[in-house]
Amino acid sequence: MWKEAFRKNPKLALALIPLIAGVVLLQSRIDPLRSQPAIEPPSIKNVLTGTKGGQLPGEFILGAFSGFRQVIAGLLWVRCDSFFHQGNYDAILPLIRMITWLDPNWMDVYATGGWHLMYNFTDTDQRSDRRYLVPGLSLLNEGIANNPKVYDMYKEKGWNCFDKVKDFSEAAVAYRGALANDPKANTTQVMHALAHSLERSGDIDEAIAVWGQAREAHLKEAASSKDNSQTDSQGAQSAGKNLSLLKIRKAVRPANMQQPIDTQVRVKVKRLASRQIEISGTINIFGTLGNPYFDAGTFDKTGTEIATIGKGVIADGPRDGARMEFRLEDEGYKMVLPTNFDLQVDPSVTIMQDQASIKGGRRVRKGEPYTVLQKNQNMADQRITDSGVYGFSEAQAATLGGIPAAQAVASGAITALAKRMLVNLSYPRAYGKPGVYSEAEVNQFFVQLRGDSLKLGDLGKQNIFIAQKDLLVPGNFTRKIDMTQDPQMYGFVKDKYELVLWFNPRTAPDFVQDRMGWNGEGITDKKYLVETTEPYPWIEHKGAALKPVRMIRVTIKLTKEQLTAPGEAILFEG
Amino acid sequence: MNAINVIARSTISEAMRKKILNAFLMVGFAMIVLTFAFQQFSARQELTLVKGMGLGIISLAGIFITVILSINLIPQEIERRTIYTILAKPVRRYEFLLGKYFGALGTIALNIGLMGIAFVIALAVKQIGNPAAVNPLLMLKGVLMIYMQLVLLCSLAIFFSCFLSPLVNFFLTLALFMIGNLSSFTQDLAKTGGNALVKGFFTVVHYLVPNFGNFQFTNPLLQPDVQVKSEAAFLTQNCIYAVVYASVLLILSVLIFDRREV
Repeated sequence: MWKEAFRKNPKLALALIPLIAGVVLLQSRIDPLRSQPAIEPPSIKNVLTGTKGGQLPGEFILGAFSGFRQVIAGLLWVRCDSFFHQGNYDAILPLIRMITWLDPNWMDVYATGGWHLMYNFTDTDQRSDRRYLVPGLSLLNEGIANNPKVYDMYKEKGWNCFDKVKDFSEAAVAYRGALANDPKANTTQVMHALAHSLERSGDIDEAIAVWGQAREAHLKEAASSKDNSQTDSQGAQSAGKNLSLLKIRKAVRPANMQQPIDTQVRVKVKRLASRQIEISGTINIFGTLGNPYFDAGTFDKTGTEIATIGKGVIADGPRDGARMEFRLEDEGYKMVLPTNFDLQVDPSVTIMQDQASIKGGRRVRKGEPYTVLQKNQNMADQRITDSGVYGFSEAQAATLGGIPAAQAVASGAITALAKRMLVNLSYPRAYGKPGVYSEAEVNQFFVQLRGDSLKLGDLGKQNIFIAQKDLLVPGNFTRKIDMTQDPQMYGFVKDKYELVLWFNPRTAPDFVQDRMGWNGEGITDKKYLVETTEPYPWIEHKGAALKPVRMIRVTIKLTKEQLTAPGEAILFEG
Repeated sequence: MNAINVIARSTISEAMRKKILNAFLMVGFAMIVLTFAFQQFSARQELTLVKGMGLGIISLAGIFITVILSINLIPQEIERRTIYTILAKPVRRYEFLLGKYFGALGTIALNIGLMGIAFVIALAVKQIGNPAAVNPLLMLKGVLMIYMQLVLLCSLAIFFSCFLSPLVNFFLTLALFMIGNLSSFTQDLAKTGGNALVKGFFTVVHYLVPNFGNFQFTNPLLQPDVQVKSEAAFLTQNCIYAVVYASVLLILSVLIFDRREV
């Protein structure tokens, strides 16, 4: 039939030759355009083999390979959502694997998947399963590799490194990647976060530079955009404020940290039962006594010009708000990222990470005010706390031999700091008003206080006394860890473990850093102070060396027997 | 040309009488339902799902309309013996065949066009007040690619209908459609196959089997943040590819149909 057909109409048959050549030529030109990740990603082929963590259910394979991969990806995402609401977290992971193969440009799936892996797998006490940080970061790295020109994936990785992994230098690398690869990178989401990451990495000069660039970028965007001008104006204001504060802190902190604080860390680790431990201890964490005691000076809010820099910390003292962090892990564990994303976590690895608030630190020196707490009171009233006056229990107060504040004011037997504290308590600075009282203002208000019987009466009602002796109560922390309920997460397969407790000044609140430094310049401790470029030894850094930090780190070697044996025992005290 | 025109128009009106537009109505209804289906997701994710599903539904409906319509065009005329009446008139066989083909294309264009318009309107309504809104008319690029894919599919089905029964044609056309969608695999195998024979075989398969996978342009429409290199060239070359390949299949169809005993 064919032969006859061609023979009967040879001219038409000959016309096929150039047309077929045209088809081949066109296909050879379409192939390279089609194989770009934005149109047809190479990873779709993985769904057939299913060798790397998941295999597409049979009912979907036909659809995926008939040109409906986005539809299948959408259906799988809907299924993911229902699994999420059912709390069936394990079922979500292979689906996320499939969806990112089917549609590697669907960045919401990478972002949600990364977050899900790093945050949602927890033990019964809501402690994250840190083993999932490895697949979580690998997934985000894959997202970046598949979408290298879009800032979203860099931003997601940056945030997870910053917030969850606490790898601030890697976060900064990710945010820089966003800026380098996508001119449309959101200034607030990327540049602000980069500046914060640099500050936490100890790279203050770079952080200052980035805040300046962020401010400029906001102003430029505000000038060119009609819709987002308000957002950008606020962004510029925020960047300018941060820029000013950082410049001020850079200028004042060296002087404020001249005399390092001896943290005098004491730690006790007790086994309560098999796989149950209690970590407790004390530590001196000092910070600015409060807002009325941080003298920033007068400065331009735009951050471009600083008129007069103040003294910084006028008065310091123990502060609540910092955290002692701890991690129990296999001895020598390193968080190594695989080349390719793999859902599996190593079941033989045991990692427990948690933290405890450091609180209850108090100090009073001779001639300074304090208040006596009532029996049912844990802390002083907010107004008293805000003015920097500590509250002591009746038992503690009994050792101080205090005299009523009104009596001390009349006699003048108080220190200059005490004058300021009483003035701040009796005549608090208007809310939101910047700056602190000058020496002249303090003296003026103090004279006023002397003649103000109403205010003096208030001091009496508030149980304010002036100490005749010094007293320092260190901050304390305590945490019970129960690892009996989650045997899969805490397998205790290995024989040797390390329990690491640390206080890293880079993650401390600003008011603590003001006294103890960005890099721990204001810290000392006879036993547990370390100066290191690896604040978290389990994180592998491949890039440039990190800025050194002085931090408190207590490393305790433990055995499986010590952790899993029944009954109570003191595992460490020192 | 007049004969082709007349046959094409009668093919369209005949297809309409078969209530093929019911498919459009169902798909249009599906579109409206779809826009309310994913409200539990964030605005951006919801839009991704609506766009992906919408284009998928249009494509799926289009494939079935095209295959079912095309495989029956010629065999039905022969079975009903109406072809004798037509060919007895001054109508050449190739005119009859091309008339049928263009009639099918017109019917498909009508359906795909109406579905596309319904989709764009549904999307525009859905996007009111949505911060992640994109220009809904951009979706027409996807609809165009679906149509060009169906132009090629229709010519393939017509080609097979010249010498195969409708049942065999149905499965063969769908099988080739799927193989054509796997063209990225055949491309890989052509490059990395074990020996020269295997490489040569897959090279021939890759270049000669109609590459229906070429027309997948959904991804850039769903993910507007990703950047496509040479988008205009990609779309244009695909349109030309569909027309040239369809011409090859139509010439083969004419050659065979000319010799076929009816």
